[in-house]
Amino acid sequence: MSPGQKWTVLPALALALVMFAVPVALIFREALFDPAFTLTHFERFFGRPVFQSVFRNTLMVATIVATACLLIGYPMALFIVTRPPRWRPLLLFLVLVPLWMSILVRTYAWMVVLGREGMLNHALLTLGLIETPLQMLYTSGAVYVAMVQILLPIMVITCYSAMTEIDMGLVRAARVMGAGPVRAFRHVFLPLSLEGALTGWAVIFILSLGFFIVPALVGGRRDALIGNMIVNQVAQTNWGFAAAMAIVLLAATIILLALLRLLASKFLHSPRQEST
Amino acid sequence: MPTHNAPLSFQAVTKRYGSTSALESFSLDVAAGEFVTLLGPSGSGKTTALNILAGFTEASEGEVYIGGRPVGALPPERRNVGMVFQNFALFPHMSVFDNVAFPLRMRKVPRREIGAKVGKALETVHLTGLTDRKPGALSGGQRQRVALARAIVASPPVLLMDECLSALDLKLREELRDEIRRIHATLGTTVVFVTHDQSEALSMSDRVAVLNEGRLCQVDRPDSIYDRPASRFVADFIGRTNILPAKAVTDSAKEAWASIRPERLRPEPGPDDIHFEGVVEERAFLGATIEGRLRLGGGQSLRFALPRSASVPCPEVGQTAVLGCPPGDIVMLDE
Repeated sequence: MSPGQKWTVLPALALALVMFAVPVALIFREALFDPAFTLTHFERFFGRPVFQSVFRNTLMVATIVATACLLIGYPMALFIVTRPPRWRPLLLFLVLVPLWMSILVRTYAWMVVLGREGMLNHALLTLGLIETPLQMLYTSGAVYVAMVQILLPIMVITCYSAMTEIDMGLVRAARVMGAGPVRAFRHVFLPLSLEGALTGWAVIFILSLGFFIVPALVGGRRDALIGNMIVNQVAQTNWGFAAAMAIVLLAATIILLALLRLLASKFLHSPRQEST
Repeated sequence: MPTHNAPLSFQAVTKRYGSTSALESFSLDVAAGEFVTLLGPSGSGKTTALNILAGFTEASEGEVYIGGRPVGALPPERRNVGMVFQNFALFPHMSVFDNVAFPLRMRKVPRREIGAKVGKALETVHLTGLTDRKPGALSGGQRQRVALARAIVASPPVLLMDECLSALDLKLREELRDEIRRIHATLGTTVVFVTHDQSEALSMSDRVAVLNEGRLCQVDRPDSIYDRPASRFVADFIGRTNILPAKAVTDSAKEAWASIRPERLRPEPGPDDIHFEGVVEERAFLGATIEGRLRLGGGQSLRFALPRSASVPCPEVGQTAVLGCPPGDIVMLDE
């Protein structure tokens, strides 16, 4: 980059500063100064088991949701990518449609489906499979189902775009070299698509950490996530404590993703490693 | 690696896509150990024929035999062929060693034999010491050698090569051409080589099969194809030639064509030669030869490539000249 061109990045840099760096700095100030420097908010968080249990629950929910999305989304993306090219746009469109609906709308839809008088219970009762309505709404299961449904399109798209980068000629090469379809997939396609799949997992994991509408509407009392705690504290104008929780969450996310990246770089082939 | 090869055969193989046929009633027998090139322009069906042989594409009609066995119903992994691809198709996530070892592992070769076999294959293609590299860290020529080693490592009786030199620059291409010839001579494998490059086809093959628009035009030894093309298309596609109406060289009244290679024409023709008189239209000095065009009385133009000779001066542009060749050097073509 020539010295003259350097100036052209300034607007973007300024935007990033105002939109991202400043808010994060403000959160840090809120958490650490009240008005003098203090660690009381963090002491309160780490001193009370209830907060830590919510925190652990949040990490667990995010892990399970991301993993479930991976297990469902990867085969879906594989299905789409192996269809004839003229079908793919339609299939992708079908996957994307739910993404254009608000999370709130989709969560209410799940309440309609899972409620005591809901569609699912009604169907099961009519079919005679159950005699009394099942308690599905306000359970952890409802939280998982709704979150997976909401986040799944993102996983499918991430996996799909990684898969379209793979040269299918490599799979054919593996076949002619003696690998059956399953082994060609396992030795060639899977390793080459795994990085995209893990990226999808990380994206879903991060997005899950911030969920609060879904657990609030379809979850039970014990299904609160850290997002719900932060919302509560903000509602009570405990800005400092809310900020402290946000920082703990941010720190935990960064550490986990750094670990994931380290593992991936050790064991995975990255298409970006090549310079050809 | 011991000599290990098998004959193969296409019998009336047709491949249709909707109403168009990519390959039409294609029959070809390749002897064990033979090096046969499928040569044709893009869309001629040569790659379709290779894909049917490898098992990537299913023939609409007809059957393919490898070693006397029909293989049409077998998936690629059970046909026991080696293949080199146009873009090499090396596995980017595997080292050179793992790439070359892949066919052995898929064939469940015992682990202790794999190291030796991979080493031997890499030695055969003159590539050693790079076994831990990933393909991304290799040059084009090195990748091609890895692809070759991977294709021959499991000693398949049949080796398929799909335009495998066209991604390389000219110098490497010529080097690897010799290398492939040498490997073929060493291993004795049956080779089916697909290319659109006629000089590759002529220089490497025992026999050349020329395809056009899904049909086999001619199959013969390279020199026979060059000297005795069977059709206008083959005469034109292989080397350079002059196609004239037959009337220009004989008294024949029927609709036919005559093919005359530029280098067969010579100045100061003898009394038994066919003579062509015309005005030199252009002329270029190329070192060993002088090439140019003669505008004939009938309006056709005739390319010539004359050996440079001190005793016979070449006519200048604008001058009238008489060139000729023995009648036997002119090939009459019906189509």
